[in-house]
Amino acid sequence: MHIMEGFLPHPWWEIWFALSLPVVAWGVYKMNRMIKENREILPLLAVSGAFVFVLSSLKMPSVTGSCSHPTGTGMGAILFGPWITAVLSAIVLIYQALFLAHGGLTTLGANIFSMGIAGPLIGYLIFRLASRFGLNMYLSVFLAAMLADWTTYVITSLQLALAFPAASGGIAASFQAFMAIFAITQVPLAVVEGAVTALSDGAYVQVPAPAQGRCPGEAQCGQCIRYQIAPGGQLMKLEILVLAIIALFAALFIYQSTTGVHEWAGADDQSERVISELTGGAYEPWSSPVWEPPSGEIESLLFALQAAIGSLVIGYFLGYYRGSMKKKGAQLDGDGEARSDA
Amino acid sequence: MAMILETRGIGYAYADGTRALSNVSLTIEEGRKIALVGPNGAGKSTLMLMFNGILRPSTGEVLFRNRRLDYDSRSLREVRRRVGMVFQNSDDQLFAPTIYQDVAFGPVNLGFPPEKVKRYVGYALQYVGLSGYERRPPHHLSGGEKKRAAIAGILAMEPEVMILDEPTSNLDPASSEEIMEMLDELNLGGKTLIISTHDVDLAYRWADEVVLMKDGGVLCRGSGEKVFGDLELIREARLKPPLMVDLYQELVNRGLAVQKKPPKSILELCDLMDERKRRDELQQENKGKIYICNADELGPEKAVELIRKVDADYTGAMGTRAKLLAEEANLRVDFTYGVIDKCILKALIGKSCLVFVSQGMLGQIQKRIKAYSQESGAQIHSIDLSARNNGRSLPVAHGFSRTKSLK
Amino acid sequence: MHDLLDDWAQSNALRERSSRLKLLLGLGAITICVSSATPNAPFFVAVSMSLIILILAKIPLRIYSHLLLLPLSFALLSSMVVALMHGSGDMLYAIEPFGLRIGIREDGAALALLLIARTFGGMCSLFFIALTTPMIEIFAVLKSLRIPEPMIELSMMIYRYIFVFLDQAAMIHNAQVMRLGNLSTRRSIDSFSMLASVLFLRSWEQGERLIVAMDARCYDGRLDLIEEREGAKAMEIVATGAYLALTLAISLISNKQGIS
Repeated sequence: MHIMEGFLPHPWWEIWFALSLPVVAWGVYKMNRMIKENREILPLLAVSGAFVFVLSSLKMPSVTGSCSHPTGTGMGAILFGPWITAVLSAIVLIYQALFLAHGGLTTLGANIFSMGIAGPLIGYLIFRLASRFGLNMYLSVFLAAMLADWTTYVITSLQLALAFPAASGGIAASFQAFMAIFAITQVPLAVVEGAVTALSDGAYVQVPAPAQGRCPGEAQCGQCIRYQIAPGGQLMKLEILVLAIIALFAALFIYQSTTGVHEWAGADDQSERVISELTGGAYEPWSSPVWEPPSGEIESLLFALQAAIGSLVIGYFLGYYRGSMKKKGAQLDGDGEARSDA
Repeated sequence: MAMILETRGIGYAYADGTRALSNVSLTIEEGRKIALVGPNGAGKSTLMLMFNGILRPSTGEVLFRNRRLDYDSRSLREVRRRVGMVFQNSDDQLFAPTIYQDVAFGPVNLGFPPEKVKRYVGYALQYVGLSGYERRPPHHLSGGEKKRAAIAGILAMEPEVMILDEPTSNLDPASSEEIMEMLDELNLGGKTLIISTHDVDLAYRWADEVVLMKDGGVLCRGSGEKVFGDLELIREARLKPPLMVDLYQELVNRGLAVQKKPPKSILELCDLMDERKRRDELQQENKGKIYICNADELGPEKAVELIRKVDADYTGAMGTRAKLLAEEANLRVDFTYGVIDKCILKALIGKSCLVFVSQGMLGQIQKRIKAYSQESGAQIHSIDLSARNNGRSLPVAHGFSRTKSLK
Repeated sequence: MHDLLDDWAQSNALRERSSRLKLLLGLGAITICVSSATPNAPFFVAVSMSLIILILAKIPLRIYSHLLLLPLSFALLSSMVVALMHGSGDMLYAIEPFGLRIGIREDGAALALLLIARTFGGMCSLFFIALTTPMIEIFAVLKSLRIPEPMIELSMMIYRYIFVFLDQAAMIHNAQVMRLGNLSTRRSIDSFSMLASVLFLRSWEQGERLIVAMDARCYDGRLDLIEEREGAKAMEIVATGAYLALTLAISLISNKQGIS
């Protein structure tokens, strides 16, 4: 779902840029490394990016009859993994804004986050998880693509809710409202795109063996271009953990918002209350804060932001560390999976 | 003439086991025009991809200038600089957002400094008649223009050999002729040309040598009349003989033409028919004159003026820049391809022609007319109208139709 | 030929002006719009940008109005949603379906107006950029902004192949329609999936042929294709600066008035 130009006010559009750009930067870094190792990847990525754009500019048949375009990010995530998809999505989104007036330039950050990062990430994780558990391939692809789209739609609703909290009910009420409105078009759309991706993925099976991610055997090592793009490797425990945590928080959030609890009382709020009770209101704080956030929502957001930054930093170092560990003990696994993502 | 390319017993099989080439041994002489002819799946494209090292033979070896091809990256770079390839579908080759950037791709990869890149791209675009197209994106060009842009991209690397896979496919007849004429111009400048085609008429009239292929092997190789004269072989290769050969044979059977070497052009056919007439009859008839002028020296107004002054019966334009001039000046041109032959044919029946010629082909047209006059005994006069004042030729035509590198 | 906005950009009357300035003008206007607390500045931007597009860039009115239609209807819809939830003050208008009271309060209406203004202003500025600045000129600007080159090169190649695949998609679609592939929803979904898969296969094969073609011209991993462009004329810089200053002034003054 594209947020159109001009819709996100200051400071939200900057905030989403701040969240998306590091991820895209990371994707560019990875892409660079891949190209250095195998220069043939650049043309293949280029045609894939063009394909995603063209696909997303077509009108998909929809049950509600509204104007609907596929996002193409589900397929992208399955083929290339989330990092590369972030880069390709960023480029495709720019073209969509400039060639089709879909989305916008200040809203690029927000759109990249919802359509290029969050959606593909979930789609990718779902796909890996489903394949790991031996689910039929068509079903895995269908679930992955559909859930990627739903994630995008949820994130977009969240982005709008954060920027336009309701007068009574705050962010949560606003979020519910947006979710409800968009559900009419987005839910069936996601199902259709899931179906389309699953059905068209049959084509992917026809592409010659090296392109499919199966190692073609030692005799043709080095010819295996596609395999080097697609992430191989086993689903990491880390990824399962991340997925579980996200699911848990999502469930919690939805539960809380539907049961009408609006304020997220943290430990400090609770202790503040206890202290006032105990001292009868006579307690004087030692110091005052350097700066007060303008509203409760901003405060929550800043909290989330620092958590995001922290996890990015930790994730980066974890990945780097793991990568260099792998390099030190570098050898091909039995089925040639040395080039997997960290 | 030196051997520029050679294959010795090369074989190649695809990953799924299909044999694309078996035991192909060929030598290509420098400066010749070669046509690979054969049905689909004969192995023409595979063979071409061997010449510039894109594919590596599983058996046998490929030699460039008598040295075996090494497949390390440095040697491959050298070979690909000297042996340039133009693909059948221009969209496969034009990948940059603007024409300038696409043509610049080759020179940049060869490590030229920016000034040099600019110069070479400028020359290449001018040569193919696409000056001014630098900032256009490829999807705004027509099929013929895209083909010329693809050729420019190769020209800018100054190859010694140019290989073109089906150069006239998907082009309208006028564009086809323009491309073939451009190739002739390049050949005059010393480049070796290898094309693959299904069009037997094209191969017959254009090539110095034809290589007939089928099922990954060479059936026959030699001059056009030798290869296409063997009807059995032609049938085996699932081709049909060139129209000219067929027609000529019928005329001979009816006693309307003398039995000699089969003609390559309408002109030669007419000659063979004329030989039945008495020689003195021929000399009596009044021949028309052929006026030649250098298109590179003229501007549109001068051209229009010239046409009015000379008042010839027919007008012709030969070479890319001559045709551009005609377009600019809004001239009505009667002949745009096979110009020399058509003018001679008209001269034979007493009509006069005015021909605008690109600088690089001036010499050729005069030579041809003179040679024809001598051979046939019919006196045809060519009159050169090009300016004699300064005689300084434009650097592009001069430097670029030779294969020596520009300084 | 004119499927995408970029095609209009290639032939518009402002094509030769400095791309950097055009981008600055457009983006500057959008930024001011989304930072404005009142609708005045955004509406000013919307109107002035539209005039620039129609008069200076000479884009046909028919085309431009057609382009504006879709985003505007979306903007209206989304603003309504926000208006319904937000706001305090007197209830201006209410309906009561199913016993629920849904209405627009004073503040909500003001917010809706602001949103519509901002979106209108934003979209018009976006159209200004999209219709006057061909993508091929933007690549050089991106390079000067220090965006990593591999990403720009990837974008350049993507640009080229978008048009190739658009043609192919159109052909495949026509082939399907000719054989009645879109008569029912079920059939349409099937046809669309087939289109997607064929397009994917073809694009992949195009990629592989492209690799061969690039290799034949000694491709070694770098593209190095981005060229520099000359700077802008003084008059244009002044005009752009003046416009942005004016817009900013309107915004600030209105903000002040709005608050007081």
